[in-house]
Amino acid sequence: MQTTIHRPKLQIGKHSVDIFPYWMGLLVAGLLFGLVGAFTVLRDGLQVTGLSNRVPWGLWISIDLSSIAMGGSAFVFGVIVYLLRLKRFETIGKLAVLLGFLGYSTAGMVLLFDLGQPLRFWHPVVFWQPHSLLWEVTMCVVLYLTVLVAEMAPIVVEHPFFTDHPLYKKFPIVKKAASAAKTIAHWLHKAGPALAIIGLTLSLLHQASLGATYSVISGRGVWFNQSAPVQFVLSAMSGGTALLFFLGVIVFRVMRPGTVEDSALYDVARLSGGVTLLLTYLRLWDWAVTNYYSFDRNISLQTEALNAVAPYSLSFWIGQALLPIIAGSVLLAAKSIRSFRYLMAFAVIPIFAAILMRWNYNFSGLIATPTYAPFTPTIIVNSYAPTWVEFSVAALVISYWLLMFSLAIRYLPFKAENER
Amino acid sequence: MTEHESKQVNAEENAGTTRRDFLKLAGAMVAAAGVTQFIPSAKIAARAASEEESKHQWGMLIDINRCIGCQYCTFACDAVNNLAEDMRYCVVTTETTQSGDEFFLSRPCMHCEEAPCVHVCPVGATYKRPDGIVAMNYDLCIGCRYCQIACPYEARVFNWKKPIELSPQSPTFGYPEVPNRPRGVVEKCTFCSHRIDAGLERGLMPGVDSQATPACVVACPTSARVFGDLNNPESPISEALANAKVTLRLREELSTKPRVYYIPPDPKTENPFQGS
Amino acid sequence: MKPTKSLLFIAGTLTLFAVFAALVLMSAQTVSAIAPAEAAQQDLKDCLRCHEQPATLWESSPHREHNVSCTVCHKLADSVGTHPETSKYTVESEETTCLACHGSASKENVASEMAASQHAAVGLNCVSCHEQHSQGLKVASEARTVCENCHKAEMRNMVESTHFAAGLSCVNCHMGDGKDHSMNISASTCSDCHTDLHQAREMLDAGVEVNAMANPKALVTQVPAEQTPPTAPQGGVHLPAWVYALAGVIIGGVAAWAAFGREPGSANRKNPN
Repeated sequence: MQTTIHRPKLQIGKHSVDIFPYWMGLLVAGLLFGLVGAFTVLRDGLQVTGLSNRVPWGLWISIDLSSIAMGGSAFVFGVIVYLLRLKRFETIGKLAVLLGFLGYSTAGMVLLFDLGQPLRFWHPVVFWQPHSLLWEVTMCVVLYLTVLVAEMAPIVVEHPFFTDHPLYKKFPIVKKAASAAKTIAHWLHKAGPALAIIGLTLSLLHQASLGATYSVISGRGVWFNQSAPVQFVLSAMSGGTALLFFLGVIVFRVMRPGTVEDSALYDVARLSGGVTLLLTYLRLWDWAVTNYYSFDRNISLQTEALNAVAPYSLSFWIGQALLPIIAGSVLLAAKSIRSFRYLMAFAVIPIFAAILMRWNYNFSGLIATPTYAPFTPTIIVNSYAPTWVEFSVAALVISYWLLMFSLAIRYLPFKAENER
Repeated sequence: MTEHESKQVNAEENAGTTRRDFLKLAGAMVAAAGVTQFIPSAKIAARAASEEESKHQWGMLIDINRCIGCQYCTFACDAVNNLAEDMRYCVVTTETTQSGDEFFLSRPCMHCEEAPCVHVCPVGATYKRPDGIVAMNYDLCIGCRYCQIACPYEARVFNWKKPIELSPQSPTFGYPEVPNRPRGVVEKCTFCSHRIDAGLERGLMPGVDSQATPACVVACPTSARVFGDLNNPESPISEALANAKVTLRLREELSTKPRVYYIPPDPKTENPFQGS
Repeated sequence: MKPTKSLLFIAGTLTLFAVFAALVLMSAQTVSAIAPAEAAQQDLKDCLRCHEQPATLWESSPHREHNVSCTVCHKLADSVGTHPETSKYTVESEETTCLACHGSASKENVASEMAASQHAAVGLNCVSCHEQHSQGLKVASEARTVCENCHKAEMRNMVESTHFAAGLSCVNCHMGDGKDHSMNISASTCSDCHTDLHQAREMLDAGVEVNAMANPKALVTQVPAEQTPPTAPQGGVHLPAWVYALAGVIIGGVAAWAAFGREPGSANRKNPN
């Protein structure tokens, strides 16, 4: 049975317009603009960015951290669907795999531009240094991306192209290739539970070591923090699941009505709300440990300096504490609220909170740096302003994400298992 | 100049050797990984082999009371390593004591025993030599700049641009003695390991013979810097450390165990050149 | 033949005497090490084949004028071995290199002046200030002089002074116009220029306070050198306004839709099966 895909149209007066081509045009324009920046940075090197020896990581690393957080639902739903065997989440799980794949491939892409020697991107895979968290992150991204491709394959072959297409008659080779792809995908589907376990391990390892990447840096005050790995895992779960709920409503309720029960979507929202509250609880304790109970002079000076140049505390208290508590509570009560409109609006908060947290995490230790002066340690406040090239490459990867996502949800069936 | 030429040749040969050795080591590791499917044991074996300590352990002592802030160490370093002004390995800054007195702090790479940069490098491009020098393999470095972020002393610089042809400090303060590094890798102070290696081959003693001693130490007009073998009780640095009443290392609370020691400013010592 | 013989004998004796006298005189002036111009030229030709950079510096140096070529300062370490394979050229200590000519035996007597200076007291030597091949000053860019390189605070005061405005620099007082390496000032340092009291009157009219001159430290405190208040830290992440605007539009759009939009998708429907 074919899934009917509703394509939402914009009502302008009496005309209903399919905005999809215009949307595609916009994204392709973004891609082209991004390619200009990508070419510039590959030709001229990182001198065209706003990065410096004082702030060596900037916008791209923040995008990398955020896009990985946005793919955080993949491992959660891998567990739910394949290990807990909750069949009603199976279709949503496919969307989660798509988001995971997009998040990780975006991250890999943006990291490539961030390297001083982009042609040596494969070095960590060959020259192992297992002491390094960045090595672990790289290996996990590479391996997990492989797992996600394997998990994506069965979803892609659901497309009618792999069943029948006019081209088959003209070119029998296409038919053969399609059926071969289908066989491989079917075989990979059988391996689903194993892939889920590997994916879960890799993803948990990797989300945690992203946090540890910062938290092992003892020389930078606020970064040196034992709970960062757990915080990164939880923020990926919270932000990723909230994004899954938001997009799930669009994909399954608007475009494929009837494929997913409303109650399943509510449960996704509840899961996101619960994790959001858990994360906020941990964030508050973490704040208390680093600020209130801490006697580390560097950290208090650092926080002071950060507040002088940016609403650092404000963005924590409003963006990562107050709003997520409200949003988490609302999402947790999804079954009593029963309004997708409100739930979606509140789901935006954990998404932004996860991005904000990773943004703050990346920049807090870079913008305010403790000096090595022996008797009067002070904090140096550094400055960073991204250049157009950085925004251009950002546009490239964000356009890629949106383009792939838009095409996938428009053309992939996301069939439930029993419809096969 | 004669010295420089031959040193350069020696340094290149030496770099070639270490690079080959490293590639061999890496190759062996990968092969071992393929066979055993179990990296930790192979890695531990490799580490054990490389961590066999050399009989020399190089260190430096900087007497803040003698430093007059002339920056000759910086200039000599720039000339020998062919550095642009925004790429300096060794910088001199003006700092203050608790009582508000100003003093000059000259800072090379600390060559930490527990170097954060070595621990974080994802490809092992930064490594610790058996003689305690934290060195770079510029052919492995992918330019991720994690080491820059990890270094508490801001001792690492990234090649944002193409290297310059000739440092503005050359030829006044010396001549380039090492090959230029490519754009897109991180680089750092080497304790002039090219001089040390070439000097030892010729039977010279680093810290005593100027041709085998880091350029910054040789250039210091007030002998504020002392260099030598920490393992040898008769080396200049061991004697200076034994004679010093009190020494400190930068950011000791981080347990990086720097190999660069400082004699803190003594309020009783009158330094006529101290800035006000 | 006889008169010729005796003439030759006298001439020979005289020549020997002249050569001896010349040798004695030359060694007395400690210039025996200096090679004749042709030898210096040959010396340079050999060295230049490899060592172009120092030779370029040397070409326009005072040493060049006096034919002090490479091997005067650079000695072959091992006289048996050959350069560059086995034997290296080295520079021995300052005493045997610089002071051989500029030492106490010479009329400049830089050595004893230097020994009397504060510079020697903190361990400086000739090459601390002088670039050895050009004999110029090591730090001589427009932005920084060799004095200022260490005496930063003094230079900050100096540039505010009447002396500086009158075009004087460090060496005018401290080196007796560039010769005295003791760097000390004497009673005549001031009186050489300020020959009578009336000039002191003129200085007062020019706005220099008497007690300020009596106490140089007071002058220091009056000078507002680099006293401009430090500007507020310009640190932080600077994003263009459109980034904030974009985030605002997204959040605002979602909020507006939540408030005024309609429920997404069709009415609740149970899964067909």
